[in-house]
Parts: sequence; C-alpha cells; structure tokens
Amino acid sequence: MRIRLILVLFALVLLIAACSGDKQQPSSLVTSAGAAPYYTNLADALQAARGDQYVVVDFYTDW
Amino acid sequence: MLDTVVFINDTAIDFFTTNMILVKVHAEKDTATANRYHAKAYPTSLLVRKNGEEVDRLVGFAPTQEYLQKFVDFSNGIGTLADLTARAETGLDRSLYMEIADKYKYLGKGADAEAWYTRVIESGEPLDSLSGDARLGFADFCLREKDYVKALDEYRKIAAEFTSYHGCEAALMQAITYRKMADTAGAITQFEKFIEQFPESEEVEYAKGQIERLKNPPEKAAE
Repeated sequence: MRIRLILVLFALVLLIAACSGDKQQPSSLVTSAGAAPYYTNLADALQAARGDQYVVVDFYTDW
Repeated sequence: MLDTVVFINDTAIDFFTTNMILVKVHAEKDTATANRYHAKAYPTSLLVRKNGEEVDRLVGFAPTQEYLQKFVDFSNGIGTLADLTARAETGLDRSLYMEIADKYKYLGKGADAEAWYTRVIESGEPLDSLSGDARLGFADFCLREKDYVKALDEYRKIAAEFTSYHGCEAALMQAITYRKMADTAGAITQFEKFIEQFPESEEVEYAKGQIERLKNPPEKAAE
C-alpha cells in the first residue's frame, strides 16, 4: 500500500513538472528548416534570452 | 527582403540559433510594440537587451554579413549613438554628424535631428552635397512624422535652391507628400511637373506609374 502511494505521488510530481515545463516554453517560437528560428512575440523573446544575451527585433509590414 | 535574403542564410541561421535571439514583429498588427520603439520605417531592426532596453537600430536592408556585423558591433558599443557622438567631439566630421542626425531622425527625436542636420549645413557650404543631404534628411523626418505641411515647405525650398540630385529628389518627394496627404490632384500635378523637369531621371517610370495609379486606383480599375 505504501509503495503504491509513493508511486502515485511520484507520478504526480512528474506530471506537475511536465505541466510547469510546458508553461515555461514560449508559444511564439517558430522554427523551420532553412530559416533562422524566431519569435513572433517580444515578451517571449526577452524571456528566452539567457544572461546577457541580446535580442534582435525585426519590425516589418506586408508591403 | 530580410526574409528572403538574410534570415535564410546559413550564417544567419547559426547566428540566431547560438548567438542572439530573433523576434519578428508585424508593425501593423503589434502596433503597441512598434509605437513603443518608434518604428516607422520598414524594415527596422533593433538590438535590445534582455530588459527590453534598446541599444541601437538599423533602418533599411543590409546584406547578411553587414546585417549581422552591425548587431555584433552594437553589442560591443561600436557605431551606437553614444559612440558616434563621442567621436564627433574629437573633430570636424560632417559625415559623422549626418549619421548622428539620421539616428535621431529614426528615433523620432526631431529637435536633436534638426540640431545635427544644422551642424552639417553650418560646417560646410549651404549648397554643397552634404548640406543637400541634411536638408533632405530633415524634410524626410517631417514626412515620417506626418507633418506634411512642413515637409512640403522644406521640399519646395530644396527644389528651388538645388538643381541636380537634391533638387530632383525634392521635386519627387513633393509629389509623394501630396499623395500621402491624399491630395490626388496635387500629387498628379507634381508628378507631371517632375517628369517635365527631370526627363532623364531614373524615377520617371516610377512617376508615370504613380500617375496611372492615381488616375485609375486599383479598386476603381477592378470595377
């Protein structure tokens, strides 16, 4: 019984860790073969920057 | 063009995978971010720190190596507004003054831009090439800031005082300013005047195309 409880708790910890990991992953990252990876949301890009890493913001329009 | 030339280049792919982070902002959709950074010309590429503070910016297109090097330089404090301003204090360099003025222009800081454009003009001859560039630079600032009346006034004066390249450019820009003001008749008249005054200009075909579009707007032509 105790072993089952420990296993269930362990599984719960894993599940919570996985969910929180998903939350930390910025949603606007776009990756495709043959093109530089980029974010479409500045806040995501700033959050993804490590230490003193810089961010290049490309402002564009369709025309 | 950055998408089709720079961002598909292997060096750029590696650069934005391992060195810096790239974010592409559609300026007409994410207007809050575009306004926050005063992005009014496209493409405009900014180097920003993790806290969102701008280091410096590159306006317009540049080939891959030049584009990437610009941001490496900015990150090392080379070619930034602070760097250029410090260098300008060490001696007379009108091209440097011009570069500083343009940086202020793109930041939307009109008084500073005008002060540096004035310095370019006052440290040379009123009608020399760099003075012409400075006058056009300030008129362009007025146009970007949508101060159309002032832009028109500046372009008119340049067109009257300069004969060759700067006069030609100012004549064309007057027509473009009218078009931006939605003054169709004024724009057509000025484009026609431009063609008449500068028949050898490379921009004649552009001006003819603009006249055609103004007389037959796409939505009207489709009817």
